[in-house]
Amino acid sequence: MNLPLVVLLVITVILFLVLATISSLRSRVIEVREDRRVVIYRRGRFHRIAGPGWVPLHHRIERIEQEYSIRDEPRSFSIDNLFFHGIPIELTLNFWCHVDLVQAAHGNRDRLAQLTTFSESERRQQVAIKTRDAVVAQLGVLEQKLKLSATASLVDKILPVLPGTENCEQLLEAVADKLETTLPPVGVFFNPDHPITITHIDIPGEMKREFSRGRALDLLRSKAPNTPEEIMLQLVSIPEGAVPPITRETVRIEGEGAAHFQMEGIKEKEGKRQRIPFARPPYAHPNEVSLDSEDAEQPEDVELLTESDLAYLKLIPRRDESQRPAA
Amino acid sequence: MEQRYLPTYRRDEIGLILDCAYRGESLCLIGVAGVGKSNVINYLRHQRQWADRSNPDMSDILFAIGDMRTWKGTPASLWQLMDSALRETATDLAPTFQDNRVVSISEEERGLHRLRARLTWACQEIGIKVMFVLDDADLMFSKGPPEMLEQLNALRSEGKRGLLSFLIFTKRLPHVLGKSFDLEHNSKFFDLFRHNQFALAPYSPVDARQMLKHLNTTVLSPLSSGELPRIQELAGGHARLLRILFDLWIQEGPPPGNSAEDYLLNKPSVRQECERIWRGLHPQEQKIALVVAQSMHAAEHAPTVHHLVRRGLLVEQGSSGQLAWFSPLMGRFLNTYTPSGGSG
Repeated sequence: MNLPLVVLLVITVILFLVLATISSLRSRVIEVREDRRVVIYRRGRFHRIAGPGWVPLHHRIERIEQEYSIRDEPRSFSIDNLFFHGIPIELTLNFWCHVDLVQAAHGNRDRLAQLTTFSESERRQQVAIKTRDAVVAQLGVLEQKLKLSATASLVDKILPVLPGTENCEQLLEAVADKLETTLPPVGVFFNPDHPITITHIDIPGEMKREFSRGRALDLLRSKAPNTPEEIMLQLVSIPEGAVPPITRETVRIEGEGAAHFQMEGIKEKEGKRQRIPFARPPYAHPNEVSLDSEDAEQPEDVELLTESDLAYLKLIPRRDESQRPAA
Repeated sequence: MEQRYLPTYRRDEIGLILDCAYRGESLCLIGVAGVGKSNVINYLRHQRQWADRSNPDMSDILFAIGDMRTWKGTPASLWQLMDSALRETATDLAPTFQDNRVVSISEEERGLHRLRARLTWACQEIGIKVMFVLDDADLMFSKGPPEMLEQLNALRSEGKRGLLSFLIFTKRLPHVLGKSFDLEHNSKFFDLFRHNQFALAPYSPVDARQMLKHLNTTVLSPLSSGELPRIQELAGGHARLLRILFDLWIQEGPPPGNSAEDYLLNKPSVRQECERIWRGLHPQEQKIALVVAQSMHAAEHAPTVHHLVRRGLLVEQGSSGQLAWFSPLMGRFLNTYTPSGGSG
């Protein structure tokens, strides 16, 4: 065998081993979990997405820009300031989704690089916005489909969005269809195997009070059937703590749940106060009811903004070119 | 992220925030729903990594961002929210924070102690300035309790004055929200930013144009550059309206005919956003807004009208100073709005 050739071969192998050793010393290996992926930048530019398992990183020129979860999991989104038949409502939706930037990029490297510039919280925010858009659009469609009369009650108006109703199921299916197309552009994929659920509905306080008054009226009618209707209506429509100015009758109701209660009125006439029993249940409440009308609170006026209130708000000071902020 | 924002993005607002953060001063920015508060916060979130390159002083400021929409209404929840915000933003700081002291059994006290200890570590041991950013803080002021707000002020004691500050975003004036607690006269926390309450107006034309360009680029530029100015004009620089109109343009094309405002106001997303802006206004602002929309405002309405101008909702046009709404859509919405039954 040709000796110089052998020597050359040995030197080449040695050089290769040395270079490989040097290269490995300049790399480090990180471990990426099964449900995570890492975005690797090289010299400040997007290079690749890697994981799971062991991922080598060149020590000097590569760094992990971001690590994100690809787990398919349920997420909840609260959407407020929705309007349905003129009623403001807030819905909390829960659905399953996962992040897959590679699939969303469809092999387009530039698109993939763009998707990796968003953090997990920004992506979540985008999903929240897309969800809101889908719900708003489908609520509009539902509202157009269900034309209600002008005399429709609060319950009639709110019923279609209550979980379990046919209209609500159709609404959620339509939202799901919409999310299947609108989420992938932000790197997220909706899982249709798990239907969207509404986990919470909220309506404004005054609406809840209207429901409560309706229930209170039904309770009073059942417990005190002989009480005149006008008194009943007066009882449930007086705002809490207010004193009706014209009749100057103060009514207090004390009770424990729906078990028993005592109801009396006070009529003021010529400075004298007279107790007027409206109803006498067969049982007697053990405690006396305080009937001091001075305890009643006056209803609050709508708050006006005075000039001194308005004076607090200022314009943002204008900066000249020499005062550029950092970055 | 850098392509999304020009270097001059909200130049005045960002400059003000950075100056206050650097001096340890607190401020409150008051803006209507959807005006772009979240974008300012997103910008601040990345501020630190950019600041390293251009201004070393600004690299010593942490923006701990708390979304008050997730606040559960209790002091314990607020401390946890703030502690989480500080922990998330300070992950790259060393040494690792450890608090091994035994504290009170009460969850609220534990949470407050943990927050206070982490702040002491960040401000005094690491030597960094912290600005807590509380987004959508209206409920915090209206619900209280006032003692919780005073605790926020108390966090600045023990050597943290000048190092700890607050940036608060609300839709309404804080002292009006907290009228029941008389914040204006009884709150040291309110005193922190009493003279630093500024209006967060809609985007400048330059920023609005950049936002639209970025949106267009993100979806591979389906709209021509000639279509974007029309969207900008209709949205009036309102961040959320820009987004909604952009999406509508992509899905359905430009509005047909001459009455673009009426066509667009029939779209649920547009109408609901206008209603959302409307609902966020104080009742007095709403009342004057309707009066101005009907061009029936008088001298007695001047203070509130000027207030709406400062908020960026009304714009004085031409030498005559005629008032117009920041967005023709909002103006049309108010023209057709009936307070009991919605618009149309």
